[in-house]
Amino acid sequence: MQFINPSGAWALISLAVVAALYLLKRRYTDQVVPSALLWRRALNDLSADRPFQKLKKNLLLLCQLIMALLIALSMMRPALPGGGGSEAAFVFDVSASMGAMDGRQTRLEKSAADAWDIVQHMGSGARVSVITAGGSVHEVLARSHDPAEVKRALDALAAEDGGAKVAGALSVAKALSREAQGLVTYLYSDSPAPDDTGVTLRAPFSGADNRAVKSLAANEGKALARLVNYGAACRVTVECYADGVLCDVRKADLPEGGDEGVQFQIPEGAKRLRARIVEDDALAADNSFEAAASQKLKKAIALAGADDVFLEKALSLRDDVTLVRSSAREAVAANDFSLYAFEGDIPEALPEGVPLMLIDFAGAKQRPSGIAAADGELARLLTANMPLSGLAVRSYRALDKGTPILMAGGDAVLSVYDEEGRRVALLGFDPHESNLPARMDFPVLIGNLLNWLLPEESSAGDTARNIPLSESDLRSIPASQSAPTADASPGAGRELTALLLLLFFAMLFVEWEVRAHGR
Amino acid sequence: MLSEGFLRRLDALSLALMDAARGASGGARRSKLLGTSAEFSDFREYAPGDDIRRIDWNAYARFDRLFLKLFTEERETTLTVLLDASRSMALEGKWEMAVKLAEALVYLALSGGDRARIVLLSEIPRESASWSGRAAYPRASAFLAGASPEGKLLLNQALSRVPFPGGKGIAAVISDYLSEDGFDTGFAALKFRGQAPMIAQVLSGQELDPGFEGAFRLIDSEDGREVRIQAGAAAFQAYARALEAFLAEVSKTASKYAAPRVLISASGDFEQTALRVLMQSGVAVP
Repeated sequence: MQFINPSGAWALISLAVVAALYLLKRRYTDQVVPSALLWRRALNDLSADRPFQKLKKNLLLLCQLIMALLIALSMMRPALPGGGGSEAAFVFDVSASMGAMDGRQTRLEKSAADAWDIVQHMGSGARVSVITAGGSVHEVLARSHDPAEVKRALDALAAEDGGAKVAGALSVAKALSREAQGLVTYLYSDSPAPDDTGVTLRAPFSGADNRAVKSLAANEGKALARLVNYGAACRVTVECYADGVLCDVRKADLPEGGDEGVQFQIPEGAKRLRARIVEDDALAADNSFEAAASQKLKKAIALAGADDVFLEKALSLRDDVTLVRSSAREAVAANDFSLYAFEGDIPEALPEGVPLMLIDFAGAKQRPSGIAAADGELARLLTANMPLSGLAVRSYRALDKGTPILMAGGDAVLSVYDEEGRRVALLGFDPHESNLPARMDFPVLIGNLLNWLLPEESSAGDTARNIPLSESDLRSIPASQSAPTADASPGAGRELTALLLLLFFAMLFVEWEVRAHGR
Repeated sequence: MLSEGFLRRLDALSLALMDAARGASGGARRSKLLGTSAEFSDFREYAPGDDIRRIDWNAYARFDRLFLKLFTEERETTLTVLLDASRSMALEGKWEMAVKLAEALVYLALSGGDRARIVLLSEIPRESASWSGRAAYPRASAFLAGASPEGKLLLNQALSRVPFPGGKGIAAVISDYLSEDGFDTGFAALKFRGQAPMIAQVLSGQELDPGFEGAFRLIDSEDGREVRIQAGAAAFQAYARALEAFLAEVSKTASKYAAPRVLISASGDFEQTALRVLMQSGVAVP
C-alpha cells in the first residue's frame, strides 16, 4: 500500500485527542444526598450488566479511535500498489542546467534514478512513457510495458545545451492522458511546473553555486569576456583561446551574485575566440563561451567556363557564398577558393583538396528519351523538390563514375562522388542544350549540389554553442511534490479513500448504535 | 405548627388503630376486652363464676335462661410517634414533612382522647413527655420545633431499644426507612412489646424520581460514603428497580405486622395531601 498524500498523517493526532477526551470527559459533580443506600443497591444491580457496560465503553472508544484512524488514513489517500491500470508519464527537462552536478551525479541522472525508483514500485502491468523537453520535445518511450526498455530510455537521457520546452512536453503528456485513463504525470525539472497542469513536480536534487561566462566580444586586438557569479564571492582564472590556441590568461574576482568583465589580448587575424573559466563548478557547460572574432567569412566559389548567367545566379543564391568569375587557368592558379565550378572547359590539372562542380559534356552524342531521378538515398536528396517531368536534353555523355543522380534511360547524366578527400559533382550534358536553366528545377538542382559539395558550416555566431544564460543560475530549486495534485500516486493502482470514507460512516452508525443501546 | 384550618379538618377524623390497642386507664378508645363501660356489645349464657351482676334479668324472665349482658370496655391508648431524627431526614424537605406528619398524628391522638408522646430516633434518642388532651398539642408542637435531625441511625437497632412505659399502644414510625440494618426486626420488637405499628415513610422527590444528569459523586449524608454515578437511562432504570424493591420490602413488612402504611413525598404540600393519604392508608377514619 502506498499513500498519495503522506502529509495527511498529521491527522493521526486525532487518535490521541480522542483518547485524551475519553480520559478527561469523566468529571464528577459532588452531591450530598440524604442516603445513597438505594444508589448502592442500584449499582449492585448494574454490576450484573457491568461487563457489558465496560465492553460498551471500550466499544465506544474503539469505534471512535477507528473513526479517527479512518479519517486520518483517508486524508493520506492510500492506494493499492501497481495494478494493471497504473500508468505514468515521466517528463524530463533536459535543459543545460539539468546537466549540473549534484554530488556525484548530474541532476538529470538523479531524476532518472528517482523515476526508475517509481517505476519499480509500479505493478507489472504498468505502462510508462518518457518524454524529454529540451530545445524540442521528444517522446522517447511511449506507453511501454517493458521495464528493461524503460531503464534503457532513462539511462540514455542526456542534458542539452539549450533551454527546455516544458510546456510542449506537458502537452504531449496531456494528449497521452486522453488515451490512458488515470495517467500520472511526473515532471523532473529544476524550474517550477506551469500552473494548473496537474503534474507532480519532482526535483530530487539541491541548489548549487555556479559561475558562467556570459558574453565574449572582440575589437581591435582585444577581447572582453563578462563573467557572472551565481553564488558566493570567489576568484577565478579565465583563459582565452584564439582559433583553438591559448592566447591569454587572467584572474578575476567575482562578487557574490554579481558580474565582472575580463579583458584579453588576442592575436591579429584571429577568427574564433573562446573564453573559459578554469575552476570547476556545478555546471561545466557554461564555463566557456565561444564567439567569432570578426564577421563571418563568405565562401568563395570560382566559376570558370563559358558565360552562364543561369549558373551564376544559381550559385549566388546562398548568402554565404561569393562567386568569382575567372578563367580556368586563373582559377587553378589562385588555389584559395572553397569550390571550383568548371563548365565546358575542364582543365587537366584540377585544384586539389577542394570540391569541384564539373559540367563536362565533351563528346555528348547520345540522345535521351527522357531524364529521371536515379534510385538511391543520395539521388533522392539531390533531386529533392525537383519535378523533373518535361526536362529535355538534346544530347548527353554517359557517365561511368560515381553515384548516379539523374538518368537518361540506363545512363547516368549526373553523378557525384568522393575523390581524394573532396566531393565532386559531374554533369554530362550542356545545360544550354536543354531546357533545364529555364525551369525551376535548375536553381534547385544547383542549390542541392552546392549544399552537398559545400555543406553550410554551423554558424560561428555568438551563441552557437553557448548555453542560455538563464540555465546558469542553479541556486533555487522548486520544492518536490510528494503527491500528485490531480491524479493518483507513484505506482498507485486503485485509490482507497472512498472505501475508507464508507467504512467511516459505517463505524459512525455502529458507534451511534452502541451509544443508543447502552443508554 | 399546623394551621388552624388544617387542625379543624383533622378534628373530623380519628385514629383508626384499634387492634390490640389497650391502655391501662379508661378512655375513649374501644378495646377488644369486654368490660364495664355503658356501651352494650352482646349476650352470652351464664357460666359458673361469672359476675352475677351482669345477668340480664329481663331476658331470664322472657326465656327462663340466664344470660349475661356483655359491654365493650373503653380504655385510652397511647400513640408513640417514633420520629427518625437522623441526618438523612435533614435534606430535601424530608424533616419538615416528617414533623408535620408527626404533629398531625399527635393531634389526632390527643383530639381522640388518647395519650401521645414522641421519641426522636437518633444516635442519642430523645423522648418527650406523655401528653393527653387537645390542649397539649402546642407542647407537642414545641417539642418537635426544638428538635433537629443529626447523626446516623440504624433503624432496627433503634426500634428495638425504644421504651414503652405505658404498655400496649400504637407506635407510628416516621422515617425514610433508608437504614443500612433494615427495619423488619425493629417492627418485630415493637409488636412483641404490644405496639400496634404504623409505617409512615417520607421520601424526597429526588429519592422517588432522581432527575440529575451527568456524572455525579453522590455522598451519603449519614456515613459520608460515595457512590459514583454516570447518569443515564441504564443507571435510572437500575435505580427504579432498587426503589421498587425497597418499597415492596416496606410494604411486605407492613403486611407482615398488619401495619397501616403511609408514603409521603417531601416535595408535596402536606396540608393538601395529608388527609387523603391518611384516610386512604387507613390510618385515620372520619
